[in-house]
Amino acid sequence: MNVLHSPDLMEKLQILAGAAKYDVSCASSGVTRRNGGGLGNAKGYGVCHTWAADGRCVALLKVLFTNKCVNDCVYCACRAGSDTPRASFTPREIADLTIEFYRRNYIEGLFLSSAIEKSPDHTMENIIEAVRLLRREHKFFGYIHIKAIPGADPALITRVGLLADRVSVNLELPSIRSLSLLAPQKQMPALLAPVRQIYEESAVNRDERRRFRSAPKFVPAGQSTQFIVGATPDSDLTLLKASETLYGRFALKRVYFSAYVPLHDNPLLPALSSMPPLKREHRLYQADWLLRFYGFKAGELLDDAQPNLDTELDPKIIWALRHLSFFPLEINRAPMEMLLRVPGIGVVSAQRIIRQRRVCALKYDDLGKIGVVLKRAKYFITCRGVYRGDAPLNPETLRGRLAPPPVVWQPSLFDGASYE
Amino acid sequence: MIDYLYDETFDGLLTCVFAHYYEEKAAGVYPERLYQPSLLHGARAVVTQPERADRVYEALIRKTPRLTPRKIYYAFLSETPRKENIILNYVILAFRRGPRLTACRSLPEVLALETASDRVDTELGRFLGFVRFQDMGRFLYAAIAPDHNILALLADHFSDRLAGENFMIHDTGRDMALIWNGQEAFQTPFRRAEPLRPGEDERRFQTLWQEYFEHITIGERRNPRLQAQFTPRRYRSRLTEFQRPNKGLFGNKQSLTEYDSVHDDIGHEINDG
Ligand code: SF4
Repeated sequence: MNVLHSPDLMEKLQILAGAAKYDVSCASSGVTRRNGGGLGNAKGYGVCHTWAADGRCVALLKVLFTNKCVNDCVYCACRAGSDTPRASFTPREIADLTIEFYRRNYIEGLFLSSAIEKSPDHTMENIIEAVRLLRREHKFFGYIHIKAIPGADPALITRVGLLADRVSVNLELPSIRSLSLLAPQKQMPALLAPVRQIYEESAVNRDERRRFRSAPKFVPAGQSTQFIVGATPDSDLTLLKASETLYGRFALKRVYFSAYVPLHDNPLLPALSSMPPLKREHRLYQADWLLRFYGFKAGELLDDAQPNLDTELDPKIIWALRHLSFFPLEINRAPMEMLLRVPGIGVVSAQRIIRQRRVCALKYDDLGKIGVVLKRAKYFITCRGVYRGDAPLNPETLRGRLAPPPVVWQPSLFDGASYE
Repeated sequence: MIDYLYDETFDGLLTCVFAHYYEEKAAGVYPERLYQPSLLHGARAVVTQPERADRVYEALIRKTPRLTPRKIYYAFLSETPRKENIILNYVILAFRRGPRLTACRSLPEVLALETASDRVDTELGRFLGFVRFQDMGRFLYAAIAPDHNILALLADHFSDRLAGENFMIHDTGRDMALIWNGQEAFQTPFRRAEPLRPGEDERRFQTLWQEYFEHITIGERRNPRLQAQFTPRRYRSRLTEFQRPNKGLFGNKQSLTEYDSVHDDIGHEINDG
């Protein structure tokens, strides 16, 4: 505990939390584990502990190990050329701080990321030591998410994968062109190498665990990644296609989008005065939910003629307006896949519709009670054959009806959970 | 028909349900302490009998959908007015419909009960995150003031998570405490006039946490309304990170607790992964 009395700990925490904040992921979900005789456990559904003043959930102690970096990625606050205060934790400081915060129920665990100090291997070894202390010395059974350092020895990735719950690599930019422009020291193949390695070792590990129950788990909560939105001209279509590939090809659990916050003046970047594109980020999250839970394909939502999401209306409404010939759908007959495409019907209400109509046909009045948002849905459905929309089914009129009134708009991160 | 009066325990309520089936039909169930005699029905105080309560509960487990008994218990822990009658009506319906009950959310009996149990569920989900312990040297102490009576529901989670510690979670509104002594968890009436005073080490960790909380915010995305949706104001006096007066990272003179809070009741969205 003594290391926590060092006088500069406060300053380190300020610098290295501040430097970690642009990483949007704070999920603690995906693995359920009981306390195996030490401290902590993990809940599969994740627990949020508080919400910061930007409205983002805080579930983990999210810090960088160090912000001293050998690279010079243009968009990054840690880049070698930036004039910013620097600090590094020791592995023991990270481990002890995590334990003390965890005992007080401030957090679910640790999310440790890092800039590259000296070399990828050197940095990765420090990270592994922090996690080893937590797991072995403190017998910590809480959640640990580690950001792998691209370019580190694959053997180090394997080691960290056996200690952490989630390991991820931030791809940050979705195209080779943007990468070579803004992060010249990074190469797409080198970035994807650990993603592929984690994917392949997870498959082997699942197989081993089928045969030997006691085999240690490798990255049980899976991997995720993050893209920066708005630092480059990459379109939403490019971002969603990249996400779709990552879900399909490498079984990623989650792709995060982070609206770019201008940090310094550079001709390659948006002007310092520009606002982070929060609305665009929000639409991307909605589209991402449609890919993961609603059976949509990126190519159905966007195409080369229309490569960016509409900012006024959500992508599901836009899809429906472009495919009005599918509507109206009869609530008492439409199959699950089609119910999910109705604006105003979410996954839960679609399931309720299916369950309830087995017993007896639904009445229009039931729909609101089981969670259907009729304000939107009414234009796209019939119930017992009756259409209740008060406008003809044509895109222009409906657009007017469905567009939100011009109010101050509040972005809500990951707001898919309420997305219907 | 008769009004049954009970002792405000869950077993007491289920004993009344038993009486409804085996003695006389219930017009309603009410806490004995608060009962206003009715002109329509006679009333009888029911003596709680755990065996009878168990029989009702086991029948619910056998004959109704899997989550139904838990929903009933959660509704009981809620602070919903007339929750006893909501539960009684629901139980009657549940026994009548059996496994087909799940398809009936639009029925008023079901909607009323599920609304009550969802409230407890939501608050429980929040408090798994919102309990804040202070290290008092020999044990960890947390004061909470939840809307509903969720103390018992916190026991499994925290006694597993903090198995090697001793802790007390104190519901200051209900004067009850949940205690874990490293071996077993139990509830006991508890009240304190003075708040406990943490030592210097503890205060240092609280400051570290408060600093962390401020520095993790992206200033350009500041959104106190959204923050208030998820951390409603009424909970903030117990949250360490909101207790830091007048020192905003962004030169803001307001303390975080002074912002207008809106939408207090918007449901807790679980951070998914
Ligand atoms: S390698 Fe990472 S930390 Fe270093 S400058 Fe690039 S993005 Fe920033």
